[in-house]
Amino acid sequence: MSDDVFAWIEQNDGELDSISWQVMSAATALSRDLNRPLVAIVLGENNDALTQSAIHHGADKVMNIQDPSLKRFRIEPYSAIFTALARRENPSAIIMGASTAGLELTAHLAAKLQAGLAADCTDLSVDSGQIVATRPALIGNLVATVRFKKDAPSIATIRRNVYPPADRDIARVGEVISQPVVLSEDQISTKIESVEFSAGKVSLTDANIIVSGGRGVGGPEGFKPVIELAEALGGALGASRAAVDAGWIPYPHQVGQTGKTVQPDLYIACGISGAIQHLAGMKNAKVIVAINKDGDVPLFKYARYGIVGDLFEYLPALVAEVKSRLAR
Amino acid sequence: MLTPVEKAIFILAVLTSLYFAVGTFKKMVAIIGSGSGEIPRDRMLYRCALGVKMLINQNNMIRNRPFVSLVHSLIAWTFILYLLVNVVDVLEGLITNFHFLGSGLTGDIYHFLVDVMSVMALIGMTYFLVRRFLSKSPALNIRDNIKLHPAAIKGISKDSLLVGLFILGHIGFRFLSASFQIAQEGGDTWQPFANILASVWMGLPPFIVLLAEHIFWWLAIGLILVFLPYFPHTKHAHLFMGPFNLATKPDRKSPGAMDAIDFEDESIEQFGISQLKDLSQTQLVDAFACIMCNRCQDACPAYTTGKELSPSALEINKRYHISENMNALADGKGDDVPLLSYAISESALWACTSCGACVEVCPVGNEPMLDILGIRQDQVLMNSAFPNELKGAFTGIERNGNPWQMSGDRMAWTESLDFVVPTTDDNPGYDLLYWVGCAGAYDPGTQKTARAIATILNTAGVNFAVLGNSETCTGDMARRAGNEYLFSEMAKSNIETLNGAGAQKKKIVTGCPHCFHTLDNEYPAYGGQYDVMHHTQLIDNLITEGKIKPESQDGTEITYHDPCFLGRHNGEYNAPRDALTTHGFSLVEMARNKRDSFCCGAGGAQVWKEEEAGDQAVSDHRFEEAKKTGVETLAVGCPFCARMMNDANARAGSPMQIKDIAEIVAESSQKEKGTKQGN
Amino acid sequence: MNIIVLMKQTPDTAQLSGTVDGLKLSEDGGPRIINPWDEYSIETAIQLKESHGGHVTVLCVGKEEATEALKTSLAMGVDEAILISDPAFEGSDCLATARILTEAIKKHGSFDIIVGGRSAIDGNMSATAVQVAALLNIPQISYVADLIEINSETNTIKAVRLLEKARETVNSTLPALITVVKEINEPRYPNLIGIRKAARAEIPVWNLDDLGLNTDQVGSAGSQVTWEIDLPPVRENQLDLIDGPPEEAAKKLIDKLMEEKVI
Repeated sequence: MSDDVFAWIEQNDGELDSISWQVMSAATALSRDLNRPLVAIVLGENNDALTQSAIHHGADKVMNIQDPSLKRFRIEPYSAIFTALARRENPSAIIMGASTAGLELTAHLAAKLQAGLAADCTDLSVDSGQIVATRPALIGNLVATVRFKKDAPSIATIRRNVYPPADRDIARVGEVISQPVVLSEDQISTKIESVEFSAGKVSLTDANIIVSGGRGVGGPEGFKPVIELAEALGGALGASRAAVDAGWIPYPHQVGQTGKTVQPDLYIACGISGAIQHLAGMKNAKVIVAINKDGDVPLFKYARYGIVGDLFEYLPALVAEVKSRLAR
Repeated sequence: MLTPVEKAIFILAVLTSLYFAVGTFKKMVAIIGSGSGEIPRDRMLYRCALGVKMLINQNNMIRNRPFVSLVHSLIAWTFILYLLVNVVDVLEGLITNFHFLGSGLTGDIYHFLVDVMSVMALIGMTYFLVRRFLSKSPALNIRDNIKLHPAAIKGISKDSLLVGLFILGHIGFRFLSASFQIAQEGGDTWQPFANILASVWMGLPPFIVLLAEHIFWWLAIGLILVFLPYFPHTKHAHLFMGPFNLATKPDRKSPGAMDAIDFEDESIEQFGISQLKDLSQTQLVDAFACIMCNRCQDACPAYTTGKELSPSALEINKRYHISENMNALADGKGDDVPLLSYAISESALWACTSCGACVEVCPVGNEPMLDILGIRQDQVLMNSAFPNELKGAFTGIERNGNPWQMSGDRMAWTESLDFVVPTTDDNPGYDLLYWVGCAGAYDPGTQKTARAIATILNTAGVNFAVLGNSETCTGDMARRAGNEYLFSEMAKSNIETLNGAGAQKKKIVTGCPHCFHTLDNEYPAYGGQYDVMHHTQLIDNLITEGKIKPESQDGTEITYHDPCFLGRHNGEYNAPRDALTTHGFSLVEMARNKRDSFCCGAGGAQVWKEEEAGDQAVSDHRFEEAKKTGVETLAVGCPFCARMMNDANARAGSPMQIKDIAEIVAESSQKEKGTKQGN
Repeated sequence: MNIIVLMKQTPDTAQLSGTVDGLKLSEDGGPRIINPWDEYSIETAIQLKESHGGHVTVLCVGKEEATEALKTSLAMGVDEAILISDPAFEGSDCLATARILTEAIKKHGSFDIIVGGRSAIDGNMSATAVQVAALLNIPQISYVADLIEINSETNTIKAVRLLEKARETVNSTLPALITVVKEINEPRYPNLIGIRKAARAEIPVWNLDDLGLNTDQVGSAGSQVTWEIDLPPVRENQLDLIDGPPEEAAKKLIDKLMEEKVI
């Protein structure tokens, strides 16, 4: 019965997901408030450097599970390992990032451990020795305060870029304990056949962040800064009908009544007037940002934030700012 | 004048010819009868008179292709005359010494008429053959990308040649026969042209002349007897099918008013038109009446801009398919071949803007637009097969009450006005209901128009009200896109709202011609009878009554684009123009205006989907025409025309201003009254 | 092929506006639709049936109002639609709901594939379907953007997963559960014949006893978390115009967007 705080240091194919240090930041706070050790869990093929880094970022202990079968995330082996560890150690909390893998793994774990789950949280705190999570619901139109029952670990994922990354102290020391895998490769039913890395080709319909260009970009080259911003934010590229009709960008990128209807968390419209045909496709976005030389265009009436200015001046500045703030 | 043997042979020939002709005619009747519904048979006398009238005045087709139409009219009138002439010739042949109208003045006039008209018809028919086969007039071609029955091109050529030669032959041989007859009588100055020929024959031996008279009589009448059973198989069936079609058209309140479907009727298994047998009787008559002249194609905005749609090809394909399967269809065996496989392509089906130009221009009363809209109904209701982009509009109407899926306050447009726009709850004693429409409620551009209309109403002291947030989409877009079920749901619910607010006892003015058309012409089928006008009509009235006094524009030039749903579909061309000209605008008409106006491209659900593949956007094509007038301002009367023209304007980088008539009049009135319009 | 679809009825977020907020929308009697992602699941299932033959069943845990959503799924073309409803289910968290669905699936019989949507638009936990797979102990493939191959004879399935920075092609075995993203297909619009048939259909209702569950396995009693729902802090819907030269404005905007937690 350890009641420790578990944090997953997420990596895939040896590439660390930057959310992991944000997770450490949240987990550190919880471990301090609960007065329990923080245990980082690292899974992968080659973990030595990462286990040390986990300690530098605040882990008191690291459980290291190293095996070729863990090179890329698969739910079966990862869930089996976490389940075994959790059943043995009985942590008070298991914290991960709300990445595609984190969301899936925490849900699976919660079922295996019959535990409570709070996903995509914007805040985790401790109240009378119990973890309380705050999370948005109904596309941000509601706020839920989630409380966990005591008889199982509190499992939570934190939303990306809400917590700052944990401070790094290379002088920190801690214990690294190797753990075995639970399933052998033969016992795993899912095999990864191939991976296509698709930076810049984010699917428009499923994207959480979309940056769109309209008539104001002036031509196909004008889309370059728009594409750069989309890439920097890890978002998808969209366009208004005017830009597609003019042949500056292919139809699959068109957002609007006769294109795709999208509901991202963030929609940045560059050089788009906001004619109703376009609005119909994106008005349900959680946050709309309008960047346009003409301050009178209808889109400003629907936007949360606006910049009246030349997108060719403001977009590069935004790209630079994003890169410096979000890159790790 | 015929010998007894000749008479016997003649009678035999007539019986044979009639036998085959009647046989074909019976098949046509059977095929038409296999259609749904019934051709109207009420007011028979009126209908017969109508058919005859249109036959004689050629249904005003001289408005399009004037020279060709004139020539055709001459040939047609000659043919009408020849109904009499052939009967007379037969009687004069069978009854010895019978001379129609004798040899007095009336007889002379008759002969003169026949002589002159025959020659004009011969010249006209020669011109037509030259036009089709030598100079190969492009108007007679159907573009390669149009789905056309494989037998059609050669078939149309063949029919044209054969019938052209027949006409030349029949009239020509008769002319020759007459000339030989005159030669025997020593000439007849009352038949000037035949007389010229007669003078050539005068020197021939009498028995040759007599023989020639008989031979040419037989050739002339013989051609009729041969072609009588042949006619109905070709496009020349229009000779009788055209007037028949015109006489038996169901009464429609407007050319674009569609019929309601009773969805409660559990026995209906087929909604919309999938195969030939789903067409109505009048739609089958259309196929037989079609003269394959391509006037509808010329008028079609989709065809003009390179889409796969040709209304002409649609009717031609129907006809050729029927001809190919004549016997089976006449036997009631029907066929299972979907129209989409032979009559019209999918892209063509979804290219139609429901502008009604094809219906307006057709000389024989065909309505290809209604066929297209009927096929759309089958596609949507039975198969859910429609351009994906329309799903958003359908879903929006269902869930949000508007095709843009907007969810805000439908009264938001009133916020910047300095007076209150009352709802029917606020002002139950209203006289006039202003039906704002979804565009007025949600489209920023149209909200300006709505404010202008409200301002005009306010300035004029009209006691009006709006439905506010209980107003929902009339369903026009759903109907034109083939989603008749959704339309019927919207109609029923809107009628409940309107009647609940007492609108059936008041007047209604709409801000949009689509709403106008739907409420006025199509809601009655669902029990909603309203006195509806379009805002340009109201504005015109208010100016005439002096209730608003717009400042004189001193001859400023302006052009006006007729909305299809106000103009062609509802015959209102003057009110919008008067609203402009009575206060001093100088109207410069575009080349295609009023009945011949060219669609902006938004109708037929086009504005809710991507345009079908073609050479040019319909809106760009129309905008070019507007630019050619050289004026600074293009006046419109419809939010969708405004949108299409604005987009075309932006693409063309042109400085033209596009304004609704309401905005123009409100601006002109604001200086007079000093009322703040506020945008 | 036996296909099961997990469906939820959710508030229609397209109707959120200045006058309709989240709480009002979630109220009883508020407008409800099939959870948007579940439309894609239903479409996936119907397409599988069209190409491989078989039977599609939709299971939905909800209140009686969810019958409408189930009828829509029938109108789209599924074969069977079952409502799983009981007052005791009220207050269930994802795990309790997954438990209910798992019992319903077991009651329904054998299956080759279960299809769910990525998440529900109201709760947005992305958990319930995954937890069903965990409770049934079957493989799962999440974030499926393309179903490449499925074979109920060899019991294999191949799909493309849409991850943040990559598309991963995976093979797995059947029976399995997949969750789909919107890229996978375009849900069909129900045709009139479907709507008619659905209107006449009777939707069976399975309750607590039908599933063989007891009251401490469901509802708040069977849940591991409790939720308190509220409106987010009031914000004026006014435009926040960011001025200043590009670098300054960029910094201000990114600050605000990070505060909003959208990047």
